[in-house]
Amino acid sequence: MVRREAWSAGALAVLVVVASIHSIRLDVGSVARPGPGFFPLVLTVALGVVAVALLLATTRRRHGDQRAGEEAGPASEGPGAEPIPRIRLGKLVATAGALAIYIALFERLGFILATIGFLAFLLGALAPYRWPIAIAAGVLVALATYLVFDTWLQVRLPAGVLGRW
Amino acid sequence: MDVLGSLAYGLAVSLAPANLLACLLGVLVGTLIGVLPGIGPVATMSILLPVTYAMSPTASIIMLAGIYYGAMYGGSTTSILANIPGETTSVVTCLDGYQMARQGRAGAALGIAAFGSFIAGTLSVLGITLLAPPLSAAALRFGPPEIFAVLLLGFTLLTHLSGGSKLKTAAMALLGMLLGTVGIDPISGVARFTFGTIALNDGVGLVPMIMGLFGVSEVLLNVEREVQQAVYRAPIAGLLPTRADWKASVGPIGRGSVLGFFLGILPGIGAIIPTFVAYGLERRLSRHPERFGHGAIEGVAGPEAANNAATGGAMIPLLTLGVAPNVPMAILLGAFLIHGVQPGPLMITERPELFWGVIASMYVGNVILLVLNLPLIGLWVQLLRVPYGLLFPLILLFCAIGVWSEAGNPADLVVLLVFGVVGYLMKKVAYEPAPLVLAFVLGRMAEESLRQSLLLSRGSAAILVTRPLASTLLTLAVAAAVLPIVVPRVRARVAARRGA
Repeated sequence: MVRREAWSAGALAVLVVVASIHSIRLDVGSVARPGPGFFPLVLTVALGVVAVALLLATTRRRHGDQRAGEEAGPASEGPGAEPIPRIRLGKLVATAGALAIYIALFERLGFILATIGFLAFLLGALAPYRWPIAIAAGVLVALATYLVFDTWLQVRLPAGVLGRW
Repeated sequence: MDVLGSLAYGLAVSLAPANLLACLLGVLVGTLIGVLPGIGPVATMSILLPVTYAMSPTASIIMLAGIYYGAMYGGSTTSILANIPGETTSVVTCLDGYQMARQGRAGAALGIAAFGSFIAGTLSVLGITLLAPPLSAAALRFGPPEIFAVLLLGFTLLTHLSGGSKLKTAAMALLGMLLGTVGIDPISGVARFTFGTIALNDGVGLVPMIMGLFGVSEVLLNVEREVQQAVYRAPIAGLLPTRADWKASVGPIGRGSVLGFFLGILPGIGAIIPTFVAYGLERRLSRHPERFGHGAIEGVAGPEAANNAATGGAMIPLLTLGVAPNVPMAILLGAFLIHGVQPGPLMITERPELFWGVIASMYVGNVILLVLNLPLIGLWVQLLRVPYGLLFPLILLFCAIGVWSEAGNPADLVVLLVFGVVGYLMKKVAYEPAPLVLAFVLGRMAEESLRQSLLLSRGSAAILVTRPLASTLLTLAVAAAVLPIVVPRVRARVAARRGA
């Protein structure tokens, strides 16, 4: 947990460096006449202070200082901090990957085809459904949502490959 | 128009067929997603936001608001029957609600949650009815400096009162404000943090960001761990609370309503904190605090009243100031703007049909919720048995459709994915997404109001302290920031001196 905390604080620190360089390049102006870079710079400096405080809190906690731990919030308080019994990393990566591919194909392949593939994969590979059922459900839901959103609610969903026919 | 006349007018608006249908639809969908764990009102409101384009502004807002307070009703059902909070606002309800169900009192728990929600919901709408008009009038004196001071107060309250680590909350709030600066600066026209990407010129989209942080990330968290669905299976009898139940619950409902309403008004609080405060209060007041956690009906009645009352209280800053005090209200604010309405002090006179129609619809919606929900509980129980394996692909699909339908912009889908992954990582290290989103919305307003103030005063920051209202609010903000740090230390020192 301490290591994760340190990573997250480190990520914030990197972000602060990038953002502060960028905001200085914008016109910062002065307190009386703030330019477009003024507000972002104030924010990044403040964020930098917080990031350093978070880093200090994690290193102090590593040395077993209880009080520092309280200051940064006890690790057991957050929802993600509880001991997680078994993480199914494969399923997590597959879900996120499927969403990424779905998004990439959403316009090119068109809503209906992309959605069929997306749903069939999630239902067939990641949920305990047999492939024929997963594919049938994918087709059904894809067509139904297309009808509801595109035809009825007038949300223009991409036709993609099917549109060329 | 006096309040009663205005309310009657609002009632007529809200009972027009289209608006009544919108209200019915909103509260039904709200209850539905409230019952389902893993999808909340925030994600749902964003998904349905584009659907409202074709509706009238009044019907849209009525429906979206209905989703929000409807979810408060639904969330308790899951907490009581499955020991999984249907919504984060019902986390506390699990403690005693599920114990009651295990003791065969599921009916009483569901019943008191529904009645408590109804009473609190109605009381809080009454609160809006009475407080919104004078507050709107007062808000007319709000210029950019006052708005800035209110927002600053909101930020300090946000950091101090949300649960968990203050440092982390502060980090999220600052990050949110920083994200809010992405895009073309409205005052100078310079592109900020776009790194040459045209898609970012309009800034990061609120809807894809919210759906990523609240919808996709929640799915990712749920698929990686085995979700145990231990739904209560015995038949549910006796939804009507007994006289003894009422006697035990009247006080908690009353206190929960008042507490929820006033905490809900404050920016940055939302509906979660009031439930914890209400639970703690009831336990402290109880003559038998040891019963809490073992099926005390007060532990269901108080928090459930508080979360419903908070939804009403949260409408006040939105309707009178145009400031969103929590994330769902930020979506509602977006809905107003999309329909070309600027919520704020002028709305009550310029758009009375909208102002009073929405308020009156909340009375109507609460009645619908009570009438519908008691008989429909069997249906919600069935719904709880829908396996997550079937549900999560649909949630992802609706997130994608919702994001696409807003502007048909493929870049928004990328934003959805990015924030889904970021939100997942954030929850892993116990960073809360709500302060980020809220600060994202309020940050833009804060920067604009600060720079407008400085333009007004020709560059003198003194404008923030010379105007009485602004300086009072600023003092409050500073006090809210400093007192929680100083008071415990002083108290500790005094105690130490006494001890010595």
